[in-house]
Amino acid sequence: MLKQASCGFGSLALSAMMGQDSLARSNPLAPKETSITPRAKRVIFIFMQGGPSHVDSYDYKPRLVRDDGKKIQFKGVRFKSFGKVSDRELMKPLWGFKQYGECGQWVSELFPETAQHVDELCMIHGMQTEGVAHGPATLFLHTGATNLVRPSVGSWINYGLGSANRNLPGFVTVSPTPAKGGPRNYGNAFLPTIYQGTPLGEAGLPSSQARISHLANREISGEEHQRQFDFLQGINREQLKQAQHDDAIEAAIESYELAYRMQCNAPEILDMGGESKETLSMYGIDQKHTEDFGRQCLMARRLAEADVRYIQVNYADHSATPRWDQHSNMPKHMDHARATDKPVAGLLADLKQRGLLEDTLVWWGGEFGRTPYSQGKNGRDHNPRGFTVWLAGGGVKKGFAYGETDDIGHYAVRDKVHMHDLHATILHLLGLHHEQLTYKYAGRDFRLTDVAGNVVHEIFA
Amino acid sequence: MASVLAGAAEPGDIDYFETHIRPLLAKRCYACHSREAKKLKAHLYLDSRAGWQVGGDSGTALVPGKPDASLLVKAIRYKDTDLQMPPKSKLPGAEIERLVEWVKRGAPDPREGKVEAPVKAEIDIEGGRAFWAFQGPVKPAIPQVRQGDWPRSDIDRFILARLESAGIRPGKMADKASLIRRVHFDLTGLPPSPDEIDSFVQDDTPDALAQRIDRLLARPAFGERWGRHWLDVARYAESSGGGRSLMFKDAWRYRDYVIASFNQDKPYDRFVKEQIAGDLLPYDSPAQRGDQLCATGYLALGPTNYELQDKALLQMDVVDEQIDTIGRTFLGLTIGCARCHDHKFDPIPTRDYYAMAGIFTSTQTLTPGNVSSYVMREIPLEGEERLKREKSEKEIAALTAAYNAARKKRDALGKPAKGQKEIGAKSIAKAQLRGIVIDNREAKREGLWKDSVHSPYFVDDGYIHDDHGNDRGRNKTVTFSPKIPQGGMYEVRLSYAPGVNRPHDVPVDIDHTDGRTTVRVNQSEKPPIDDLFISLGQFRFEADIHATVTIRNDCSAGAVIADAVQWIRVEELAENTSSLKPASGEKPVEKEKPDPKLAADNTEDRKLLDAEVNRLDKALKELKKSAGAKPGKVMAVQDAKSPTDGHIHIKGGVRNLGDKVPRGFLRVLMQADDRAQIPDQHSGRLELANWIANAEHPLTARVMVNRVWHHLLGVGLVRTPDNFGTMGESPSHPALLDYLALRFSGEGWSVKALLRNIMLSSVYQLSTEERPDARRIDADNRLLWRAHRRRLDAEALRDTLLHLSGQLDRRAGGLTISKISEYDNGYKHGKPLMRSVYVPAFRAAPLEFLSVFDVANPNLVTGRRSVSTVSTQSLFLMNSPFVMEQAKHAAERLAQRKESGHAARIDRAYREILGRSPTKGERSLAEAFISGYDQAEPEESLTAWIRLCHVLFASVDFRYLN
Repeated sequence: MLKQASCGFGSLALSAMMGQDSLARSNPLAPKETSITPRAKRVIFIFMQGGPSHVDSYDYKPRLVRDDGKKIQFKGVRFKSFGKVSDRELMKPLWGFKQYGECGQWVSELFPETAQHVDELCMIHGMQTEGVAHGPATLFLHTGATNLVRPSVGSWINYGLGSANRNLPGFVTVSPTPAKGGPRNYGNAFLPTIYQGTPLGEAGLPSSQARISHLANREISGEEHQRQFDFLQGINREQLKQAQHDDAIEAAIESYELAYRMQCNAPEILDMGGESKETLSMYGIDQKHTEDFGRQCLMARRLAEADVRYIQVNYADHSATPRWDQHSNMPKHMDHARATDKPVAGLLADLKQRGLLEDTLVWWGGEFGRTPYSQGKNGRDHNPRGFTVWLAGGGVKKGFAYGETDDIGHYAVRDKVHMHDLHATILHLLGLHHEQLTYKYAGRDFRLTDVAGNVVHEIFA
Repeated sequence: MASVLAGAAEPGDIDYFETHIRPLLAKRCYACHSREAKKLKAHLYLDSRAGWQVGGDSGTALVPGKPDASLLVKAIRYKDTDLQMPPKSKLPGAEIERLVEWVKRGAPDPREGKVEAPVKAEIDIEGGRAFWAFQGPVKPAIPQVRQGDWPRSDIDRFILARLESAGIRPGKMADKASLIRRVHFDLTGLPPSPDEIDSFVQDDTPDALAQRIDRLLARPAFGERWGRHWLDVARYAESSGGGRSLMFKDAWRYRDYVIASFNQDKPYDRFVKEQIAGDLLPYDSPAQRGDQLCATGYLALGPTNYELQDKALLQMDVVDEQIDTIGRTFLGLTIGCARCHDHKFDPIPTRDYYAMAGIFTSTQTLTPGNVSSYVMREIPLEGEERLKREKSEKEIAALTAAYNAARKKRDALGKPAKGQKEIGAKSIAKAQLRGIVIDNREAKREGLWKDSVHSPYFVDDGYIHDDHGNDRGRNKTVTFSPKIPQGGMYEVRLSYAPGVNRPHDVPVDIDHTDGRTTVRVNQSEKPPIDDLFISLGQFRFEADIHATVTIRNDCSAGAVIADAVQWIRVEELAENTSSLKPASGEKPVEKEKPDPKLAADNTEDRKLLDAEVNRLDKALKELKKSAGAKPGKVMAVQDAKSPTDGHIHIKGGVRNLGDKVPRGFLRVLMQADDRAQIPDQHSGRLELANWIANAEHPLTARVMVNRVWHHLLGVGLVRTPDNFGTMGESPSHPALLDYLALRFSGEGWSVKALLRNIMLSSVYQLSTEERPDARRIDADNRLLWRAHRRRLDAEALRDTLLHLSGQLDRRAGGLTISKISEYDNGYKHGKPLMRSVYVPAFRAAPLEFLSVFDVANPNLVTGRRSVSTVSTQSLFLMNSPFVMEQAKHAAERLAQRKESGHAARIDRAYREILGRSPTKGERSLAEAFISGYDQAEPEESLTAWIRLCHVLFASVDFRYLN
């Protein structure tokens, strides 16, 4: 009741007074036409921070089993070992692989639940990226640059497409990590501020506490809040009159209206109280180890339903050694797989049953993969030269695999897809041409893909 | 010898080419490397013999007969990660073999066809110099105007002349209350009090404004305000951003230097020189030396991803950032574009970029390491402080030598007999251990660690523990960091005095050549090696780096122990796995078995020596305590030991080197016959600084006066203050820009004088009143027929809220980071009350208030902030505890005043918060709102006023300057 009372529309007269013209002028988030027919309307990016091992999960390499413990020569990519050749021992996958689905793709015991949806997935096995350390590679994944300050993928997409809803931000990231680039990973850099990502919560805090900052007032509520808001907008209109209808002031008044609408609508979208027991269980919200990430994935579906354009969920934390970063203890991968497998599978199933998978592109992956050889006793190092991500829904082929790494999973050798290419491809699926999506800053046009990027048409359905 | 000419080739070879090679090249390469290519890549043609002979950007593609020396073969073999062709997939093995075989045969190729060596269109520098911004300012004639009573200065004559020729008359002057509010905010970032408004409104003397301006220019708040503007263009921050966002805990010295420079009205040319080359400038006093070192922090505090592993790339990224920042800050030019190719729009060839890059590759900004770092330099001490420090340093050195000698002598006696309650009984001297040993005394501690000698066994004088996570909680660390003299595999061992209360899972990070490994140690178990050490594993270390081992305390409950870390070369472990030197032979346990003979022999000596060691130790500690201030350290740069010219990097690739270019500046900004004079042993930074900070330079003065104009009038004469190049905008009043620039550089580069001149002109004092007649002609108000309505920036907004609530902490400067740690990630700001300019400016953890209200992005040079209107701002103003708290304090202050009646109090609230009385409409809305609360209850009544103040803070007028 209270919520309804406080959300009664206080300033109906205002929109009428300002006219639609000035609203369109003052709304840079108005939906925009695209030059390419879009195959997807929105993106859900499931970020696996730290670099999950592809050779232990989706990229099956029998030779690693055969040659377990054998030494191979390897060229260093790290500081000091840069370009130097040294002997390293191959290490077999720690989990067994099986073929799943009609497509018969291989998935390891790490992801038995996601494996059930393998006929929906489009695996990209020949991924390559820039940056050997987490920071640079994470920034590259999110912004297309390891070091220079650039807008993030979600910001570019909102800039290119505008927002399909008027009550919520167009780019939301749930529980993002404050480390490894932190806010830069959802930052707008030189794009107008309106395109920046809105964080819900923060890695390290329970996702049940993830919400938009200052969405609710802790002291004033109900009728008093409504009265105060009406008084504020009344005063603002008086001031607008004095200022002889300044566009900027009109926009400020409109932003209060949007804030008020968000205050009314967003809590409902983030409130999972109305979800059935079956749904909660599908995401693993009823189990301790999957509860946190399950909640994130369910939130992603609810945001997708509300037409948020770019949604990122983060399996991340805020320590110096990110989650999937098993340099010395690969068995720990199992903990992370257990925490995420069911929620991800639940999300895929739920999107599908609601018809949302048709126009929602789901992207699963980390900032890089891991080496086929061991580090220490049973760890693996970072590998940006070959790894796997998968896509699903939103106009990509189903039950399909594209590209290949060499027979130990070290280098991508066939149908390589550079992170720039993946960015170009995702933009294309949304109807945006990556060479035409530019923004003029400091005297020149900038793009997400810099001077690179090839659209991988081969994976389009 | 195989010839490349088709005519001389064996017929079989030509067949081989026609059968195997031509179709292969056509299929695999022509899409990007032929005349048919949609877009020719790397200027390389492979559809004619001449094509590969001439080669592309990287030179000849093939060396006939020598596959291993041929770039093309290298590329298709896919061994070099920087050079792989075709880019998408490796060729099938058979095709690679055929191409190699063809090259072995001498690369017979009958295909004729000429290829012009890729002549790149040379940038026309001479022609480029004709652009207005690249020509020096010319002294303009002061224009004649018709409306002679309007101008108050020559500035006004330039403005009015343009207005008159456009047929617009200038608007009304601002009323005095609005004007003085504008003046106060512009100069100090804070509002005038109602009394300050009244006294100005009532003062009819002609120089009332000039006097007020002078008073405000003399306030420290002036430097805080204008220093902040400069920090925007210096992309100032107190952490690196990027992956691991390193805290710059001494960056504040640069911030305070900037604020002081504005307060002192340091001549701008001097200010420029100090930031580029302060460390190379002469000085009269240690204080000046220190200041000038702080100034070079400008070059060091950019956004740098120190953990980038490709260190060659990292260096060039840093250099690029420095060049680009200098270009934008001082010259309003985007030089960075020329890193990969000649500038597309401005006449800046890649050659000029790398001429400047040579200056900065000859400057040291980074220190090496897996995660690199920045350079710190000492600020010299002054006068007495300095003498005192020098004297005590000598004494400390002497005493340390005596102490070490005494200890050596004592340790030579061996361990005392068991049963003696001496510290030594539980410990083993470092001198008895093999390899490299770092004791906790030499380690770097973060957070509170307590000394202890409670449990056996430990190295040297004692171990330290984290006091069960008290004080800082579970984010304390101890870092052991020796220099590794010889590269190779080492076993790393950790000693900890075990105990039942110790955690089972103490995390220990080992940073080695191949990355970081984390091992968890059970400190409740007895260490397996000599009861003293446990192995953390074997790792590779390069020579001459600082290896690091870090003990953290983010584990389960219990006291975390840090004692010592040992590095032993693996080959030296083959025969003897003990941690102890063979000479000392035994484990500490056995060591403690009394050796009656030894004990008897040296008990007396030991006592004497122990006493001596203790005495010296105590004296040393005392001396260190009284040694006086240590010299402060500051982020800075320094010239490299041997400055050298750099190479052009083709397409920006760090390992793709082109011609070598002598260090220099941008030729388009120099006379044709002018040349940078950089002595061999100089980096060229000093010369660069002198070239920029020069009245003759076409851009330096213009760019700065435009920045000042931008802040005072809301829009620059050039609306793109960081871009004066051809892609920037042209000035609305070119003659006025030149007039201001020449006056600025000609009259001692005084920023305060410049501000004063502009503010005392009519154009600054116009009202914001809208006028349809003028709007029809000049909708954007480029000709300045009225004042632009400006929004308060994030700092002014926050500082004003705190000021009106009486909470603002006016203490100025110094270190304001409340908890120093290695990274800023997750830093908790708490509730800072100082002015915003002093709030720690972290790239990865900005203060929420500031980032919500468009604070400058500290990663970019920002002469003009973006002004956004987004609902996150509205939510913040409506609901954030910060704003509500200030409303509460402001209402309490209001209640303390003796205004009687609602009307008077509403009036007071308006005058305090908005600097004016309410309009009729506002007054009736406010009165109705207040009456909605029950007046009988005083508590309730305060609530009403809190809500009223809150609404005024959230109202649009609070954010705008009329």
